[in-house]
Amino acid sequence: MLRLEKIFTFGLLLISILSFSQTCNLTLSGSVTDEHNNEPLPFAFIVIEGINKATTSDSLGNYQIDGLCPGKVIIHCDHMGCERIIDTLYLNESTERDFHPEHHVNELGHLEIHIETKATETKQEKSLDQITIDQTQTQQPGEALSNIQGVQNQSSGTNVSKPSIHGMHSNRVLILNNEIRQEGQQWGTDHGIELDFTNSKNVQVITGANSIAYGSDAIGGVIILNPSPLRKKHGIEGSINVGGESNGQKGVTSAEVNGNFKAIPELSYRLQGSLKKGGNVNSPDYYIDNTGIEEKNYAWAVGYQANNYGLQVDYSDYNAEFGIFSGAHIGNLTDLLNAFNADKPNTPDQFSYKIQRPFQSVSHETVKVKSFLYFNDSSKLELIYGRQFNQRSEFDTHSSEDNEPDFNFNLTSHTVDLKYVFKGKWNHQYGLQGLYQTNTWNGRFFIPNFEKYGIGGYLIEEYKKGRNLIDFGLRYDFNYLSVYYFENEILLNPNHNFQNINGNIGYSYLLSDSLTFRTNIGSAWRPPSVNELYSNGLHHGSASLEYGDNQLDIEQVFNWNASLDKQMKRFDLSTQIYANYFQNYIYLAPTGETQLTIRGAFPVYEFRQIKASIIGWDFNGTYKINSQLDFDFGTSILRGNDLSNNKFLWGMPSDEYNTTLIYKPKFKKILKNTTLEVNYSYVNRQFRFNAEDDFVDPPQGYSLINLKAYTKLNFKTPITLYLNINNALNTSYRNYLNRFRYFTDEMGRNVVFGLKYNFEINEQHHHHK
Amino acid sequence: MIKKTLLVSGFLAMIFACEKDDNKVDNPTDEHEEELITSVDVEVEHIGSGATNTYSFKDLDGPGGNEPTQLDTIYLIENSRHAVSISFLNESEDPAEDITAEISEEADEHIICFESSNGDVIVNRSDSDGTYEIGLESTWTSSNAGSVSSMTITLKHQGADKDGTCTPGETDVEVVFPVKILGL
Repeated sequence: MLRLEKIFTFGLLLISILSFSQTCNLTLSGSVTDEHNNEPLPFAFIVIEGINKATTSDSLGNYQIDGLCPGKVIIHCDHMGCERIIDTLYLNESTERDFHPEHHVNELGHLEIHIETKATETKQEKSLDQITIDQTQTQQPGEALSNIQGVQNQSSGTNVSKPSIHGMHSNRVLILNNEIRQEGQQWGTDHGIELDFTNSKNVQVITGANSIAYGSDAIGGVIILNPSPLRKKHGIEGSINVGGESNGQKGVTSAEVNGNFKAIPELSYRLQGSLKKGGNVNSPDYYIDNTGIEEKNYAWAVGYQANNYGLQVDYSDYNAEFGIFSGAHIGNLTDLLNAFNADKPNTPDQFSYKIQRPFQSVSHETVKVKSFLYFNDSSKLELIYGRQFNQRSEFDTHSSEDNEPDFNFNLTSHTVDLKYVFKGKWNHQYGLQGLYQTNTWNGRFFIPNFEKYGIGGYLIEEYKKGRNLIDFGLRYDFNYLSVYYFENEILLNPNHNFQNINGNIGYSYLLSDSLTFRTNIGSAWRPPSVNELYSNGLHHGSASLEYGDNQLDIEQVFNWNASLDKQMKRFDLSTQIYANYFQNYIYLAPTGETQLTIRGAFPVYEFRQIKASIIGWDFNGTYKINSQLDFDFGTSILRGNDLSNNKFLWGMPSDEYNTTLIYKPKFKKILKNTTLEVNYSYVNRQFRFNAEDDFVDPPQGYSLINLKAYTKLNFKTPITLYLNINNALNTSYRNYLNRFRYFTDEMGRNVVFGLKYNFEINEQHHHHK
Repeated sequence: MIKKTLLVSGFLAMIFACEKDDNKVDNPTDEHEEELITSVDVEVEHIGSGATNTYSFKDLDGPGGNEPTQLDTIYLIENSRHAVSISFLNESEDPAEDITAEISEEADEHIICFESSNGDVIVNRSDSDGTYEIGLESTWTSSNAGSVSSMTITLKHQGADKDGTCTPGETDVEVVFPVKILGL
């Protein structure tokens, strides 16, 4: 495969030499006017993302930005009291783009710290662009998020996936879904993130420190998912998505309606729902048995927004039932090693939609009540209450009672989030957060019942002068955990208290109009989770006996990162280095002992704490070969070390390289917005492993080729179409970050296609442009 | 105004109609594991003399926790045949639950496999589910005295994949009994 890589690189080099030089002399101009009354809006900020080109609209609402290079640009239009407008354009020639933000005096629905200073924020923030969000509607969240450099998909088969940021996942990544911290049984890799990704219209990832406002425990980072905002002008808009995947014969459909009442203009609503059904997926050589999935999700929101205050209620319900590959459900170590040594799994090799045992059934219900109050143009108070109910049932291969799960967990979480934001020469943000949580179980014991209380308070200060921006934050949290379980028929009720402070300092500097430097230093911590303290017994499916340690202390990380973003005439680059030092990294350590059971001897694992480090480098560059052709290159490399035992840290992602050739043909008319991509990625074998830590050595490295075609048909109401061929060469491979790597190859070729139709019904007699 | 009130109360009703957890957090349920097997009994009858002995493996609290409490050495008599019946029990419950009956009922989903470490004992299953052997009953033929070996007894749940071999399925029990062959 290395040869292929060479040919590929050489070919690109050739194309770039042959291509003619390009100049950056394009102009983007237009006007900014009020949505309601068409009045010009002066002092709107127009920012081109990434390159620090920005301007404000003049007294007539007009703006102009010169010196732009051909290619893709992402434009933000911000105006005090308006919702930010984000648009992606492909510039081939000088272009006009008008913005019509909706403006109400005092209605600062989206006042956040550093609105117009996006380009100089100190956070290491990355987002999924609209095109990628459109193209990943049929995928699992972990899979979709892995499109971001530095984020990998940590999975257990095809149906259970979660994002891993710089080698950290599960308890080390905070997921903020519609402003509520997602609380499920998120501790193990055999539980995915249980939310409807089709309702996530805005996806951001903050890597590293600087996540004080969200929680103390964002050790690897924060994933922020948001649905579309409520509509503020009269009428109805919405979208219908239909997508399919050839592999697994999966179909996904979702629809959304956003509306605002004419009679009560303060009142808006949103309805959204999605359905998903898939059957057994196949690897290049065989079907992976019992990998079907079914999801039924819906959400609604109602908001009342007056001039300076508002109230919004959101509800969402996620229901999923999915099969667990039957060949991965094993009884003991002999079964595991037999499965690993077999050429192909000893399971039925056929397609079926039927979900059989073993399977999991998960529902997650969330209610959010948000209220906010603006004191004036520069300060507001926000109160968010969230209630989540997560119910997980697991069904083993066989059971005498056919419809009863072998065990289930019921997790109820209440969260309260009070926030005050002030914007001025210094920006202030102060917040208080509370959590109350209970967990109960039935069936087979794995983790005990518990009750958890958490309270935290923070402050963030930000100061901007010229090209410099400095911010710092400080946070204190207290956690109380009360655990209930029977031991020898006596009810035990041990309690734990955990408290700590964490902080962050960030700095960003605009070295020039096209060069930004950012750096952050900070800390984060998390209390040990209940499974780390109290798990006790056989972990079915991983052929190990796991023992918690109720003496574990908190896990704390010190994190430093720095990044440079540079845009040159033909070359954009973004690079980040980071270092994490843990004093007490919690991990499941092999003890080297085995324990005899009726199922044979099992290796014994214990939760232990060690000194550890994770350092790494992310790089992303785009080379503009000519006005129609871009070459993208990305890499993520990290090194994890167990400093206490002087060995490699278990389970870290291996080095990966990604190259993409993006072709934007100069089609006319309805095919104007068309993109064609060829993507080649290489994931190296993880050579940094300790043989004694795992049952089998990490799998070989692999290369994949993916093809993508995307177009937004330029009708009055645009229709988006896409067609992707993932793993186009039908390569057989295994992924080190998939816990099922012992049992089966990954999915083979998959043709993914989809359609998105947006519609809007406006009140006819309203303002015309 | 009425419309507004209706809307608001409608939505409030929906919120309070949330799903909830009916269990009490401070009153955990007792562990209830499906088909937990704690004990394997191997009843060996020397064909000819009729002498019968039972050898056991017991891990009364299931996998994990306390170590197994009993693992007997199986004694066989040299150059002869033995009728062996295997039974599986859940002795964590009182009275003990006989899992063997369940296995007989679902005989077409289960198989018991025998593997002698050095081939000194040859095992032939003597029962059948109608199509394939089960292994709850078997005949063990021993060779010369003096050898010390082991017999691995495996219970596999194979569901619909049962094909008479030991390959498919999930292992429910795997116990290695030491075996000693005695001279007459």
